Amino acid sequence: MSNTDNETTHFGYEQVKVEEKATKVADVFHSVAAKYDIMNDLMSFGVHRLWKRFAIDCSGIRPGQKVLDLAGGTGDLTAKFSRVVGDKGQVVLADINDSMLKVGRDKLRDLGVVSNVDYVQANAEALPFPDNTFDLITIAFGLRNVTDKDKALRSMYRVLKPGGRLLVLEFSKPSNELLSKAYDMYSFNLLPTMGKVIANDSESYKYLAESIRMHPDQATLQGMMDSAGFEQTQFYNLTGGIVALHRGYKF
Amino acid sequence: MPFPTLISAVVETALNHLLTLDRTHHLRMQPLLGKTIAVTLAEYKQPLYFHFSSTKIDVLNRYEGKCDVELGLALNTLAALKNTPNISELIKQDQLVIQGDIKVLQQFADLVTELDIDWAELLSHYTGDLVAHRATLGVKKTLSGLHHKSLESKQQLAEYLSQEKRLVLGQLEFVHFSDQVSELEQRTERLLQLTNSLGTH
Repeated sequence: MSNTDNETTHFGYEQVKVEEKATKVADVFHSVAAKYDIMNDLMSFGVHRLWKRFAIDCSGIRPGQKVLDLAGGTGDLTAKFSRVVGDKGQVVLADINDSMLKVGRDKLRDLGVVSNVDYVQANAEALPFPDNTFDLITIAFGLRNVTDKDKALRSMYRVLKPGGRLLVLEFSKPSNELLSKAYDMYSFNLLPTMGKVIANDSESYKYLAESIRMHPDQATLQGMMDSAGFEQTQFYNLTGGIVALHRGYKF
Repeated sequence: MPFPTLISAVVETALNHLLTLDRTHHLRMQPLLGKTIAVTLAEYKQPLYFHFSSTKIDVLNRYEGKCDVELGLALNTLAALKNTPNISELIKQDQLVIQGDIKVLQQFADLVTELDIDWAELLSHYTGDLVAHRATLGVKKTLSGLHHKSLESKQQLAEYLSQEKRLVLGQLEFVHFSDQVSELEQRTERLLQLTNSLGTH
């Protein structure tokens, strides 16, 4: 604890003090919350909806189950989970950022999703739930913003029920060299410009592009899940590895 | 990106959009709430799971819970399904496989086939009431006109073939011919009996 002042971590391509990262990430998401959905659609040409659908198909969700949608942002996954688990089930939408949580809550209420969803502002590194609580935990496009990812994975393992599963949907490393080049050009040149024009905030979108590059690749993340205790871990590359879905079980 | 994900997304969007066009769909979906139906098309193999909730129908590619009813069929069987007395026949021929609660399936079929969509009302949002009314009336008239025309031309063709070209027989002519044949048959029979009796004497 004595030398935390000197420890640094990455914030995009910058190095910042460990205790500053959360605040800086929070600033980014406070800034993008209002336009988050429309930017997602524009940036991914709508494909993010398919990535999320694939995650739901892999979730094995059933009526009556308890789900934690971590870093659930504007509630895309929560909406569907809430409909499938039904009245006897429960979905907890958790996000560290209260701006995102508010946008999510408003959107879900507009969709008519009310009865079985709870909203919790929580840090993924220290989840405020008892051990063995959830049948399913999902974290979609959230893990790369967490300061201490290993700690977060251990925390998720703790609150997951034995037999439950974790799904991590996150940007990853494209497997094809050519695709990788095109993707780099798109995300470093086009993306910040789109962010500037639509959300008037090029810095936040520059951070998003950089943070994707700093995130561990498919095999590394799988290894991190293994060391957090998850079993039968595997990953699926989506859209040529631009995004990967990792799945692990707790037994 | 896996292809089935795209398929389920398209089916879900289209189905829900179609349902919202019918204002009473909430009421008619009521008996299906919380139910799950699995449908497997022979041409596609991959099952699609339809889950019903109060706000919409979700379509999933994988579902590990229990389905209320599972249905397997080929696309061309769908057309045959319209004639309800055929169902048991189709099941016997293995063209239709149903497992589970058939009532749920019936309710789903009713929901989709009995959509009550007011096209004029929908169109009026874009064109105004008058144009929408005229347009839908026009479409209806054209459709019934086409139907009438097709009946008329069928009759004309039949008359042309039977009366002018004499290629086919009219119904009465055929009956008359059949009568003549059976009369001839009877007379032959009688003649045969007569010759037989003459021979024995």
